[in-house]
Amino acid sequence: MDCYDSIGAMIKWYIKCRNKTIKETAASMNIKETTFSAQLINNTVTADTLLRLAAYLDIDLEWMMIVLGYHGPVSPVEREMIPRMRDEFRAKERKRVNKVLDILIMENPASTSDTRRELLKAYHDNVFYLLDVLIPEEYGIYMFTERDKQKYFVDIPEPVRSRTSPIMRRKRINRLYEGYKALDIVIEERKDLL
Amino acid sequence: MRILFCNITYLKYYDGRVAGEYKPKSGGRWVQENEDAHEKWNFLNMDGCCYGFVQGNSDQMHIEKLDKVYSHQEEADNITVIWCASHPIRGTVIVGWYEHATVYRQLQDMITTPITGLERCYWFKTKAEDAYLLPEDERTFEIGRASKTGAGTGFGQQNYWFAESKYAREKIIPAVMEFIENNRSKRINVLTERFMQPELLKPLTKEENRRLKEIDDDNFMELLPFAYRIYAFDQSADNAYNIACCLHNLFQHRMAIPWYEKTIELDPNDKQVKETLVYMYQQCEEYDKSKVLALRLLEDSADESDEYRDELYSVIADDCCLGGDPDEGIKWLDKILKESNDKELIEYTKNTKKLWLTLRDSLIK
Repeated sequence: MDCYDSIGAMIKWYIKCRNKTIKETAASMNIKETTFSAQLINNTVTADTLLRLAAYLDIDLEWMMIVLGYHGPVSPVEREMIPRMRDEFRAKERKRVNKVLDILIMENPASTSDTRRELLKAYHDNVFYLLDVLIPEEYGIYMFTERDKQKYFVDIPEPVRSRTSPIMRRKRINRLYEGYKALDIVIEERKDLL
Repeated sequence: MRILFCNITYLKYYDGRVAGEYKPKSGGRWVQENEDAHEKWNFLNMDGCCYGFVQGNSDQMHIEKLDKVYSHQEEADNITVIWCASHPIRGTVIVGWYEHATVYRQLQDMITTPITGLERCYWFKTKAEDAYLLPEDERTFEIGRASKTGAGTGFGQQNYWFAESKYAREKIIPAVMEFIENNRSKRINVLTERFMQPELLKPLTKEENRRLKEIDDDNFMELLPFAYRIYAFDQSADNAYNIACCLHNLFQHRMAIPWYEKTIELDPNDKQVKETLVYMYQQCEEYDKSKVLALRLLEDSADESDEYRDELYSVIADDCCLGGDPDEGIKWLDKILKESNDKELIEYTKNTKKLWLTLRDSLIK
């Protein structure tokens, strides 16, 4: 199941990403495990549980709310610009992800694609989360769906410096990088820093 | 024999992969990705052709140096381009070559759309079948540097060398031609036949099904033969789409188009694939088809947003202008100016209109 499908799935995904279990999360919030599990399965998470979870798992609730409700029908012609996570949350998330990324770079020094694949595995194939956390704040993330497959693109704001074509769309989308390609660039940049 | 030597960055594959072997000169990788080492794509098979770039000091390639007949021409055909690069130990060596290439006087821009193509430019073009990239072990033929071995014996200050000297014509070129003859069979670049549907299509065995699940979903080269075989025994829209997707991601846009069309034929309600196809047609310079499809999408766009309508207007304007009818293109620009609420787009459209009016006037003259 995709983690954007429901609030229960998204919270489960967050718990996994924080390397915690449902049991210990429930215990830390003083909620019965069965009650908490039922809330997740039936998507009936109460406001009280959600607020406790936000504190315990360090979740940007506003971002989560928008992401859960924002994915309408989108397409190549009308790409959906996805709202970015709040900066202070991104900074925290980025620290966590970079730790994992650094280890993966060390383990796969010769191959950026292998590092990217392992990174995606570590974050349960959530391309959007990784893009949102890792790419610079001022960049846009676009999404569209094709035959139920989500495709992500990163739009960087720098203008086309060299040769420009008279084609109109150049102005509207400066430089689009496909999601995996964008992750590869982030990994290459991280490699340069290490 | 018309021959040109080019000196480029040393890379293994020249198909866009640079991981671990190349660092941009300055700035962040996001912008540098397209600015630096443009030659990293010189052996990428794009729609059956390879497009070559060499960093030059001049804004034009002096093709008249190949032959005086090209003095007043914009391109020269049937040229052999020898790609050389500086190996850390062996010196400047031949890494590959193009045969029957076209060399352009002016740097050419490649077509891109928001979802297809690569933003790059090129001086040379040849069929993928006429491009030869050597494996690293075979990159042994050294080409001199004029600063070390004397004038006329190798590259000067420019990254390209027309090898016009007597020494080059009598000594270097014959040796290079012999090297080429002996090494044709060793090339490692991808030929178009790798993208084509296999003649014998068998159902997947259990072992192959297991293997298929293990292949990364961005390993399109490995997925493609499986996709063809799966479709042959289950002709669904999803399976046709998978073939289209593989070909699209492998830069075989022309080959992808019939599979996108097949997807729509099998699932006529798939609006998103129709939208992809609008851009695919543009990428392949099939502007009439792109326009027809965009107009159909526009007819059905009553419930869509203003942005959706604006984008289709822009696409149709592009199709008209690039298809050779700037007047019709300008009419669509006027529609944007009249109906759009997007200030940035309006500003840009005004500038585009000025540009296209100039273009139209120069065509009339």
